[in-house]
Amino acid sequence: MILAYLGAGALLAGLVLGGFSAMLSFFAGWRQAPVFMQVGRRAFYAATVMTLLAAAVLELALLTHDFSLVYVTEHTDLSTPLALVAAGFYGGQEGSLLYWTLILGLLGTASLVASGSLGGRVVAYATGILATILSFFLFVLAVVASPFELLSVTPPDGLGLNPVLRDGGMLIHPPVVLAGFAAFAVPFAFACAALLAGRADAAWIRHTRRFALLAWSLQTAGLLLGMWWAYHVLGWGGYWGWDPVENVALMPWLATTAYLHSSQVQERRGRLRTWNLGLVILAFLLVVFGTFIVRSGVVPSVHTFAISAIGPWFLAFLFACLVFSVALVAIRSGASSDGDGRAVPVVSREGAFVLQNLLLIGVIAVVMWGTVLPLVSGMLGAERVVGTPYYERAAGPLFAALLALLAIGPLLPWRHAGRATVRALRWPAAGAAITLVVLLALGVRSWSALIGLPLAAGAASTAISEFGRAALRKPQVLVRRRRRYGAYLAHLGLVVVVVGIAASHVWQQEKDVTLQPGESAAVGGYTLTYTGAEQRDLGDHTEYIAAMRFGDQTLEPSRATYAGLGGQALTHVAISTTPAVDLYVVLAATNEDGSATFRIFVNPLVVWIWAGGAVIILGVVLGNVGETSPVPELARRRSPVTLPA
Amino acid sequence: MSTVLRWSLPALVVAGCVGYLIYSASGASAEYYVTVSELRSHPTAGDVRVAGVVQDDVRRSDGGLHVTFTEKDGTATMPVEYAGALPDIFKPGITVVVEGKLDGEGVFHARTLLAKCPSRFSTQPYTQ
Amino acid sequence: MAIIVATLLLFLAGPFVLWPLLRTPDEPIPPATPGTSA
Repeated sequence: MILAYLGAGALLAGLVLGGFSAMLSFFAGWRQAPVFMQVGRRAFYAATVMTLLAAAVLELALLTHDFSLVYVTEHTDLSTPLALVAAGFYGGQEGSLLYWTLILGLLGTASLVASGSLGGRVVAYATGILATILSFFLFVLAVVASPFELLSVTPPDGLGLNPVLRDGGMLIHPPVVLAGFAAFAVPFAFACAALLAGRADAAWIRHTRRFALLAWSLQTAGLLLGMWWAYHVLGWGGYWGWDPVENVALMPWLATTAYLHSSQVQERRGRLRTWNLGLVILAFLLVVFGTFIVRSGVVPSVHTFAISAIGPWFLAFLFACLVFSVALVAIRSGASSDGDGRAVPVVSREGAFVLQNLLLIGVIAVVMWGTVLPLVSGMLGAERVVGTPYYERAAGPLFAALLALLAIGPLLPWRHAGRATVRALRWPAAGAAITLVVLLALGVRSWSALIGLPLAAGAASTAISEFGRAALRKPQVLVRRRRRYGAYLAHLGLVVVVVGIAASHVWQQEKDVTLQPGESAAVGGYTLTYTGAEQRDLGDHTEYIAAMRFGDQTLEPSRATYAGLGGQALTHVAISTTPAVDLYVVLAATNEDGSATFRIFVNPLVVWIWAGGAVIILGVVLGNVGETSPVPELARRRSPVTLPA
Repeated sequence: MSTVLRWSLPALVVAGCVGYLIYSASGASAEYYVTVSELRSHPTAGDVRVAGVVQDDVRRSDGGLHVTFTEKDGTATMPVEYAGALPDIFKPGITVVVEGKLDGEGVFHARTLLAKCPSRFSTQPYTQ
Repeated sequence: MAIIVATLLLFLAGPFVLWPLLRTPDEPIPPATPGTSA
């Protein structure tokens, strides 16, 4: 009980400090008062400490099973394993909000502490913006959805976590996704601050690049972890359902991807300023939008979200952010037009980046439309929904175009593309052509495979040829220009993921069989034999296992019954993974005559998705660890351009 | 030609393609999402999605891969027939979303069946 | 009750936050970083 008061008090103190920091920092930036700027920053740091205190208190309450708190009672019980109890911190609405706020505070603090070289005004405005966002979240936490609400009577035990959520994937996926969202507030804050302060240079991009990269890496990992969890736990044989919850995690990732690439153009050439501002704002607005959609219950989803009181608040916050951003860009856009008036041909690396921006925004539009269609159509008349076929048909061609860009873009020069470029393009062209011929020879007739796989091969060829050129001529450039080659490695990783997705989609096979013990079934050239059933009692649940023999392996798909939850049963999928294929077996039912019914999937190349994801992260890490030297600006050296306030 | 003008053409082309893709894809695959009562009173041709609560008369056959049950929302009920693996939490009392067609005799043949997942944000609110 | 806790915490945080204002006048205030007047 004391913990609850301590936690609630900390949130309240944090709110006061955050509000104070916001107001003072904006004032200090306007008046250019260094002392007030420092005080404003310190108030932000103090607000972060308060958030940290509240988070520690909540975690302590969970770990000590303090059931006087509603939150602890609703998400844990005495029999829940300790790791899942600890993870309960971000497992519920209020706790996950607190987690979001904590990450925002910590990363915001880090970005401010390291910001000495940026100039007082930008930092002051950035502090103000970060503090405003922090204060909004603290307000919701302190007033609307508090994790520290008390029960009038402390129960002896809690309700526990639903079995579907009791899994390793649940431990990792939410904190990674949420951190990826919160991290993007930093580039957003500094971009808007630079605009407010009338700065037209790329200093804010350089300063926040680390945070943008961190956000992107976390979002990438978060998406892949979510897919991995859905695949291994939910048992429908797939990993992505185009559900609103998935879509709103995908959209910010698309915008962040565009921003990461496009901002390099501003760093190196001082161009695409307006694009970058637009993209960073878009990405952050999508984060807020996603948070709103997921927590408000307005869009139908197979994930039931309790329609909560925080929905309207997030909608208002989204609206406020939108108005602020649009007004800022409209008023200040004169300050950010590209100073370099030289014409750049469309067929150039810069052109490729612009095309990439356009295509990614196109994909965002497709996903957004599919996600909000139920809402919009419901308001205008009969509610309509779309499913996977819509997304694949509408976004597929755009993804194909992006793959083509991945193959061609890195080879285009910044300026005029001439004969040397055409020569360099022979590598992706060869890769694509060979792949196409091989596929046709193997009898493949699926359009998506015939287009997607050659393009993927082309993109891989480009990355490999770039590595090859560097390794043969001047290997030390691989280390000196690690940002670039790390990015190529990430591209390769992405290609591997794309191939895995394409193969597991196009060539998936599925079969339902009912077998008596000893009988076999053949699926896609693989033979499985049902060897018999067995029941095991394990602590909080009973597991009914129907063992299958596959070659010399034993697969154990099972159904687990949790007594503590009204006998609810849970399927545990059994998967046999090889680099070439996943054999995925679900125990659908056990029957009175002793037979068991299985649903068997043959999913090719699924492990490529996870492996490719690891390569992407590796590429980002290798390319950026210890990278402190700023990218040389190849255009005229610029000093910060300051325009009248 | 100014930068903005030169980029307008490619931007318009991309925007046009995206618009066309969205239009044609949603036209081909959008379904109506209706309640049971709406479906009974205005039967639609083509596939629809219906949400409702599973009633007590669940009957399984064919190794658990075939099931019939009644779906209800408000006051209207509708028999549903589905062939396929059922989600883990399927049992009377849960909300399901089925996709399929209503036949001439008023039986809904579901192509897909999805159950509303347990909320990440609450198992159930704790009532005292 | 939470408000009391909050007030206590704010009192604790106060000195840290307001330190730049409380410096005695002869202590040098860190100058703005050179080369940037924005």
